[in-house]
Amino acid sequence: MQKYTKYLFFTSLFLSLTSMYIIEKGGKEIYPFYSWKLFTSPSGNEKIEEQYRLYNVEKKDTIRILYHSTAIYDENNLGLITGFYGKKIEKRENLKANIQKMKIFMKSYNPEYKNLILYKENFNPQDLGKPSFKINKKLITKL
Amino acid sequence: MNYKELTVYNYKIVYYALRIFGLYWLLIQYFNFKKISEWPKEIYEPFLGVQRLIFPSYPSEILYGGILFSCAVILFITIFKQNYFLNILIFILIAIINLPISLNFSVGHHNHLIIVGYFMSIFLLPKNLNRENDYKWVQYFYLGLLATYSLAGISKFLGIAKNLIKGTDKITWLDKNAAKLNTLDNYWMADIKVPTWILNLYEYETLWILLTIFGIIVQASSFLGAFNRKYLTFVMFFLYIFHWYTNFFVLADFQNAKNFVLIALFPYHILYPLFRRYKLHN
Repeated sequence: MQKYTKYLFFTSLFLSLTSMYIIEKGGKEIYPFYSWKLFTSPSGNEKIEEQYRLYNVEKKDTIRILYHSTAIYDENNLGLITGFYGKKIEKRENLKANIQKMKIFMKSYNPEYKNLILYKENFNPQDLGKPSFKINKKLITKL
Repeated sequence: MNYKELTVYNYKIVYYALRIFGLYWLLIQYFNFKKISEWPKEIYEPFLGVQRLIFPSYPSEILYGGILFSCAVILFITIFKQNYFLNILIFILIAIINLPISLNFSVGHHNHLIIVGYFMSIFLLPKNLNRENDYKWVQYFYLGLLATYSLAGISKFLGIAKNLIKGTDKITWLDKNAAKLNTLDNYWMADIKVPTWILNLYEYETLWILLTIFGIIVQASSFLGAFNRKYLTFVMFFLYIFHWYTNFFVLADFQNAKNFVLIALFPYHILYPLFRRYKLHN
């Protein structure tokens, strides 16, 4: 039976390449195989990068909500989930439900965040760490 | 031992190491599961259809714990009873166990190498590896694991070529400060301040260009390790350091993959004289 390992290898390779093709066409990978196209260029390789961010209105100030790891979320989770619902809300996909989910999510992160505003920020990643770095933000909606 | 013998010898140890590692991996998944269980039930977003099919909602502790437990039992049984069918079950269960942990909101790929590892080892039972050319099938096992890294490396070359040919103004891996930009961007997205020691290291700009090119070449060529034991050991060290780098410099946590690389590719044969001496003294 060990000779079948050869076929396992070719199956795995074939499914990886197929995944690459499907992802290229806008589809999703064939789990648990993957295209392994990771970091083909460095992150931040384009002049403009976008990110959905929540702001909280406290009295008269609008404060950008920062990601701090908690007992249940790490910084990457927080960025990923905000981005996921942010995009859906901007596209007005199941708008009500997704706004609700974003609120529930933020409440579980920090219950003090109650007056939320969703922005889409853009910046030039090549300016990161330089004095010229600047964030432009576009209002998406009040939640 | 010659190359053929030691390749089979190494796999025979890998077989058992994979069982022990598997039990440890299951425990880690249990802790990950507990953590995600604390998230509000409403924000469960399975990314792939297969996940929605198997876990339409985030699994209960009894269900998930039950799957973990059955996988642990099978791993344990296969230490004593080597069996193809049980190996297939292990592969399927591990792929299922990874779903609710790594596929919420997007696909996290930090466990994929491990799943591929159990897939590639389905037909390799130590008790049946006694023929002279059995080393070939072990080479395929290594090839299956290393192909994932080679694809990642080759796709970086393609990324560079595409941008150079099209003449885009995108930054490629060949640009000065490409690795630094990659770090700064990932830290920025996670709202974490880049540690000073990392910024200090990036001041050696030319060195980083060389390191990056070297890294991509080794990553792309890592599949060659399947055919040469010394290169395989080199690739093992390289991948371990590479994962360590991505963990600290890119915030990509491939902790389990890093350990898996060590366990699956380790040159156990160098310890063979030690094992023998130990037996003699008993």
